[in-house]
Amino acid sequence: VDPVIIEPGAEGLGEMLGGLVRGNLERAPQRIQLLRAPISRVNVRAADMDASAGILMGAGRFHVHGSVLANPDLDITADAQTLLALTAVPLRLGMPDVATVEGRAIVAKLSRGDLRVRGMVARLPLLTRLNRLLSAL
Amino acid sequence: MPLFPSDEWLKDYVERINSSKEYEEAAATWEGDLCYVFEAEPDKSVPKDVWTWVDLWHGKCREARYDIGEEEGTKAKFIIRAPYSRWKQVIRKELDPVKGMMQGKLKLKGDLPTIVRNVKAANELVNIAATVPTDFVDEQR
Repeated sequence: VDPVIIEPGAEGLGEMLGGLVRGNLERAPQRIQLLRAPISRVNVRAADMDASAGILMGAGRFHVHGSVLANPDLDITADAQTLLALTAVPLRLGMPDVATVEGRAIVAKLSRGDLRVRGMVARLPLLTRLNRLLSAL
Repeated sequence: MPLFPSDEWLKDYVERINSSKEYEEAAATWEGDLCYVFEAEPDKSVPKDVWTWVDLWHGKCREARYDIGEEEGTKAKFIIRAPYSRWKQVIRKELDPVKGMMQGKLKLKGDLPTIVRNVKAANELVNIAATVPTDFVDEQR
């Protein structure tokens, strides 16, 4: 059973997020463990365009919806290039590795507010699971 | 000037890919063929879908074929499709391909993590397309 479900309305950004996770799970099936936790709600928004997605993540599924979800555990907003960069940044313990140029660039965007992650502190383990699931590296 | 889409345009594009140092560096590890689908827009003089195949290998284009048809085209490792007028926006650099994909304006079929790991190479392919002097088929008198 495909753990990634992409709702018909989840075009564009939602399709990309779902496609990335699907590709990563095919390449690294052990990452399915990152979906073993109870279901959490994650929103991803591309600030420089009209694109957003809501994700129900957990209980073995990565379920992508075409619009944002109410009461998200995590809410991530950045421009399109930054969202893409997040999926290609080297990770350390599930967070951008500040020992790398790419990792420092992400941290700088966070500190400038160009990348906003609501719920980052309270739901850090969820964020690290999401980062690992989406990482194309 | 080469007409887009046409075999002449594709040949010019391939020559430019093969003489690009930037692309050669960015795509040094890339292995895999790619099909661009210029989807039909009969009112813009594109009466049918045009499947254009490029075989990309370690920073070079080994072979390319214009209008190969869907049956052959769907065998490609990656397929990027959009209506003709969207491609025109991409070639004119009015539409960023990453944004286009996130907005659902360009559709990608294939292993997305591979594309993400090679996004610089993908951007170079677009940059090169923008350097081809182009006449667009719907702007012909």
